[in-house]
Amino acid sequence: MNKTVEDWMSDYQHGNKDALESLYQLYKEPLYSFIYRYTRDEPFSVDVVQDTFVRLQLNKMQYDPERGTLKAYLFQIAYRIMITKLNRRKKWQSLLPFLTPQPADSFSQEDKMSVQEAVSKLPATHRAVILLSYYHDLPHAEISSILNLPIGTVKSRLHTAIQLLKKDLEVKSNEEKPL
Amino acid sequence: MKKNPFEQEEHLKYQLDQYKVDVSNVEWERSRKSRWIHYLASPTNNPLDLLMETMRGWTLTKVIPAVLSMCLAILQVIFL
Repeated sequence: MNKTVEDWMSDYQHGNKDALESLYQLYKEPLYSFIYRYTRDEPFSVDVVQDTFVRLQLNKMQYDPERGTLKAYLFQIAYRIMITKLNRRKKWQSLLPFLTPQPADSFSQEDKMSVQEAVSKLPATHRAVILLSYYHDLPHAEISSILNLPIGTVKSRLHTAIQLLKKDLEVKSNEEKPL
Repeated sequence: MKKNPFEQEEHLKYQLDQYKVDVSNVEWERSRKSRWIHYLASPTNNPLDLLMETMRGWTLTKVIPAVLSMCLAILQVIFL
C-alpha cells in the first residue's frame, strides 16, 4: 500500500526521523521554486526552505491533517518566514541601505527574461497567488489559508494577475517582433 | 465544477512554462556561520554612490580626506 505524505508526517510525529528526510526530498524543490520565483534571490530562498523544515521540526505536533494538506501547511510556514525576512530586510535597507545585499539578476533567454520580469513586476500578493495557483497547482481554498486571505480575494487577485501578465507579456512579444 | 482560470490562456501558459528554476543548490542544512559568510560576501550598494552622482559630491569625497589628513598633520606638529 502506498503511503501518502500525511502518513509520512504522521510517522515523523511518532518519532520516525527518516520520514522527515523523505518529506524534505519531496518538498524542497516546490518550496524553493516558489520562494525563488517570488524573490529571485537564491541564497535567501535556500535559507527560507531550511528554516521551513527547522520550523516543521520544532512544531511537528501542531500539524493536524484534518485542518489541511501537508503541502499547504509547509507553503504557509515558508510564506510567513519569507514575509518576516523580507520585512526585516526592508527595515535594514531603510537604516543602512549599503549593507543590504543586491538581488542577482540572471537573465539568460529572451522568453525567460520577459516572463521573469513580468512575474516580478506583479504586486506582491498577486504574485504569490499566481505562483501558488499555476506552478504549484494549489486550489483557491489552500491559497487562501496560506496567504491568510478570503477565497473571494484570492479569486479576484488571480484574475487581475492573469490580466496583468497577459498585458505585459503581449506588449513584450509585440516589442520583440521585427518591423 | 471549478473552472480553471488558465484553461483558455494557451499563450500565457506557454510563457509561464518557460520560467524554469534550477533547484540543485538546496542543501539539507547550512550553518549560521555559512549563512553569515555568504551574507558578508554578497554584493551590496556602494555607500559613496550617492556622493559620486554629483560633481560637488565627487569633489567632496576627494577634498575631505585631504583636509582631514592636513588637519591631523597640523595637530601633530602643534602638540608633539
